Amino acid sequence: MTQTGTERFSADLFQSTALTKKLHLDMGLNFVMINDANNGLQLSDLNKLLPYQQLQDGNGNYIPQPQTFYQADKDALFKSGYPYDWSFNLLQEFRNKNNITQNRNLTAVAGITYLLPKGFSFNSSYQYENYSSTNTVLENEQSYNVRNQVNFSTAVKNGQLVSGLPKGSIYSLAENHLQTHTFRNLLKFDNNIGSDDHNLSAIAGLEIREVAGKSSSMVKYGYDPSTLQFANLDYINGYTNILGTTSYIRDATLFTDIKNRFVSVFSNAGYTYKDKYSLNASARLDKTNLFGSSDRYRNVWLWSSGVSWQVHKETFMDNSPFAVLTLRATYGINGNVDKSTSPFLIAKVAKDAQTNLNYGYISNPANPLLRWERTAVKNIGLDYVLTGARLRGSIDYYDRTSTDLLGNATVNGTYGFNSAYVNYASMRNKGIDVALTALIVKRPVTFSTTLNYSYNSNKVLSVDFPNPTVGAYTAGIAQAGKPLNYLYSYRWAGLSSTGAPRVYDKDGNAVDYKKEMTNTSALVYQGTIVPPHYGGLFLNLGYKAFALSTGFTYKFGHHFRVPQLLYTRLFESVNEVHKDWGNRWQKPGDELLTNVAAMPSSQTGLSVYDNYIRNADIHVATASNVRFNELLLNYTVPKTFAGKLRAQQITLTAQARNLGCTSSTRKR
Amino acid sequence: MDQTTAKEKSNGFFGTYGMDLMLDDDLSINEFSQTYYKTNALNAFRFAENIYLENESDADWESMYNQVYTANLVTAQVMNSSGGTTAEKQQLMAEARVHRAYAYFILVNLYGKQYSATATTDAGVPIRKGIDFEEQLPRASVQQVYDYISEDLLAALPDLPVTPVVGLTNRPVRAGAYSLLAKTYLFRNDPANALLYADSSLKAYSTLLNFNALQPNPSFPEVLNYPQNFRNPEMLFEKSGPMISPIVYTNTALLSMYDPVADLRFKTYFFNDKAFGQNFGYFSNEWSGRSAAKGISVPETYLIRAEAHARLGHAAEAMQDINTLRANRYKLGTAYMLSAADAAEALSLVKAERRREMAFRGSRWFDIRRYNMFDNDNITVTHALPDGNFSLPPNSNRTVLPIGRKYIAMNPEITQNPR
Repeated sequence: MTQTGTERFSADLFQSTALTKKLHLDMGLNFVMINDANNGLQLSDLNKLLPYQQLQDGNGNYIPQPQTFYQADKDALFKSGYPYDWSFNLLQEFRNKNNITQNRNLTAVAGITYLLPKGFSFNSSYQYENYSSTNTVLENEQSYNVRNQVNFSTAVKNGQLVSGLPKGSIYSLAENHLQTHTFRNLLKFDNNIGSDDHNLSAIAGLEIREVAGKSSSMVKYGYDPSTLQFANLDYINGYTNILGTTSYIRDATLFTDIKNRFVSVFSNAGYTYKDKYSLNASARLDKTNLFGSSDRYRNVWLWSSGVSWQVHKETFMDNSPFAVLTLRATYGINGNVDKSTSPFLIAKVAKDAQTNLNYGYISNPANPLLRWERTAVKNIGLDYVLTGARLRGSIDYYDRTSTDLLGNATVNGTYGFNSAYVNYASMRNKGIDVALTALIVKRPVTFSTTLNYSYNSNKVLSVDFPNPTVGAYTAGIAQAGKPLNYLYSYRWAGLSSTGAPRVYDKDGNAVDYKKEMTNTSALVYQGTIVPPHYGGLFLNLGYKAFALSTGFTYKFGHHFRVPQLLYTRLFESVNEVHKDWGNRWQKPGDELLTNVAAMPSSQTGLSVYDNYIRNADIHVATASNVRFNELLLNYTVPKTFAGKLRAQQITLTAQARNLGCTSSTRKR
Repeated sequence: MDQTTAKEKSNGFFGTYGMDLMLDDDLSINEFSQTYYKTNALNAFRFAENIYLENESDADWESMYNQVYTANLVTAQVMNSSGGTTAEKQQLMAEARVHRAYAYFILVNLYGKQYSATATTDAGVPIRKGIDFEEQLPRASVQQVYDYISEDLLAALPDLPVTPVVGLTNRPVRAGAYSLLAKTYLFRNDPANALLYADSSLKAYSTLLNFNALQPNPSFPEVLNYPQNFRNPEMLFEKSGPMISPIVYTNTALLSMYDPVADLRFKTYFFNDKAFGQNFGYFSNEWSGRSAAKGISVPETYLIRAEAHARLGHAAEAMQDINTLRANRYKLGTAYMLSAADAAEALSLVKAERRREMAFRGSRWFDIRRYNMFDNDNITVTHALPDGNFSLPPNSNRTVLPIGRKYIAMNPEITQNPR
């Protein structure tokens, strides 16, 4: 059957052995295999359908849909002797899909731990991971791609039709392999120093990691799935296609080989006094071959430090309602590096389709100033459990300042590129996270609930390539002093007497689309598109062997632009027509009844026309929503019965996901 | 540098400008073909104040400056690169210089005023020297840009191979560099130097393709099949413009300049759209993959030399070049020879031949600016659209394209052209 689906198989083995009293050996093996069939339709496939397009007639025959050439020409060509019927039909495509991916992942770990005197221990471990995937796509002679490619390669030569490509199925095979070796050595210390009042635990470690990826792919024409034979192709001499131009068969064979190495040195030390007051510090140095230009960018120390106080262990808390009350504070520097970029110019080599020659091209311009993204994190937190454990939770406040954020920044195209992946901004994030779990009923029914709540507010502090234009504001491009992912809109001034969109300028005058707004103060700020308030609510109900749990998530306070009827698209294609088409301005007076602009009579100024509609404040709506994410029912089989099957525990689970969503469609 | 299509961050060296077609009078737009044009192209066709919105990219500008980046990278680093012989490196260096010179020649003619007596004070385009993203980008004067072009071309000449190789016409050769030099001098109204370099170019390579040898297109037999640009033996230095629209109708005034039977260019360049069920007329169909090459070619070099001769008063020499070209364009056995009574007539015959030969080849727009500036030809371009007529008087401000506002917003030292 044609569908999209997944099968999964996994196995796990783990063995822990004490070879001597002081020498321990751990070994493990994990294997996962996932088979994916990707034969469904995408939304984009459906978008290709014309309004009222029928897929089949009354007798179940496919009705051709427009694709590539004019249908009458295609029919005539087929009649004149072209290899294949050239009609396209979405249902026929869907029925002939055959796209399968198999993923396999093997992880093996081995480690020894040697206990040294006086609280020291040494651990050395090695992990090997081997991932491979195989993707096969078989396009048979029913699929449009085969028929189109072969027909397109066909032309009249000396009175005969000659095809550059052989008839038959096209078979594509892609293999991907990834091997990771990780070697890690740890020296640990955990002991009291002097008296029982002083406890010190510390780790120093060295990690070496190599990630090696290889992939290969090929495409075979004229493939026969029963004999596994395929056609020999001429990649060297061109052929004449239907347009009379010389084409070459592109050899789609592709090899990639990528290797990345990482070395990290890290240490972590914690000191606890009287089991109540703790100090903690950690540091890490990462070296990679990703940064080569200077040690300044290659060697980065990342560190953090923290203090904590277990207040409930103090004598003055003896009669308090808290079973646990801990205060924490940390400060540190985190780092992040993106492997897709490099300080060096990256050039790649490919084969040109027209000349069949190799050429080099720039895939990444040189950026000698590339550096790590760094984030300074301040965090204060509180953990608590009330006596009787009926109520527990935590509260955290954080303040993170990120500098040298990496992203695709708009750069001046005069430099040769209109965007570049660079360190382009710095920003500050502040927020709180609250978690609360309450055990409401204990017996005979247990009922507990967990509520998570988070609040985040952020602000971009600086931008390296500022772009403070109206277009950048309405597109949401980062601006200093504004949150990331903000919404700025035109102030809608209603339709003109001819049905054209109008917006207010900075002085409050209604302006026609013929005048393009260039002053950002004419725009209105409408919040952000990411939710400042979000979290989840989980309810758990238990009775004897049954457990029922539900999960809800919520997001509040963000907004989105509701897609509108835009005419630039309508001038180009009529595949999708917005439902507002029927409500558009059609005659004088309609401007009092509708905000849907008239179909413009000419394309003059059409980009501004559509921009005023797309980015109008009245088309921004709240995106707040509550989702019923999960419902889980568990039944634990009685131990006596499970014992007969030599199982420790057997659980039957029924699960449903994405059960519903409520949202407000109210516009601002 | 053999790249024909844009990929990731690089546009390729085949790419070049396209907006000129929307400004000149080779093309016409009707109600049917109008829907195939993007708003930006129609803005240019209407000679609007702005072609692009303030946050939109200008494809021509970026295509040319992308080539400048790569050329700068090569000229700065190729000599210190590892592997390869010194001669190979010198050749790559020279090729990069020619690509860069070509890019600036196009940029200064799209975004700067036509070269004239005020060239030293007229604003040209920014000359980007390095490859970093922090360089200041003030506009050099038109004169400075032309001087930079000449400097690059003269420096490149000794290290270039002399003649083009069919199938590799995108790689600059000496005959092409000479021809581009000749063209820049023609654009500077310096016919003596234009003659000198056009002559050097033709001495190095002068192969013309005889259109009598062209075969009919296998699918559309009424069209003569012109070789793909990179396989065309007439091509000295190939550049292909972007596809402005899949359907480009030809202005009837241009069509009327051809002898539809004897002049084989007519059947080669144009195509009646009756086969598609339309009845509007002729178009140069990019749809068939026959997009016109905009680089430097042998026929253009003949036209440059002919024009230089005519401007220097050598009517007979001018007509000799024109007739050499026409002999390869007209049907065997038909009368192709033209003659001129004086240099003035020779010049006007050269101009007409240039228009016929170079139609849709990126020449007409620049020629209109040139003729209006140097010869007072007084050509007003009028574009008709279903919603009205749009006219561009000679030498008016709007004969210079505006610079994308996006670039000015990011680097305010780039000044805008008055509109």
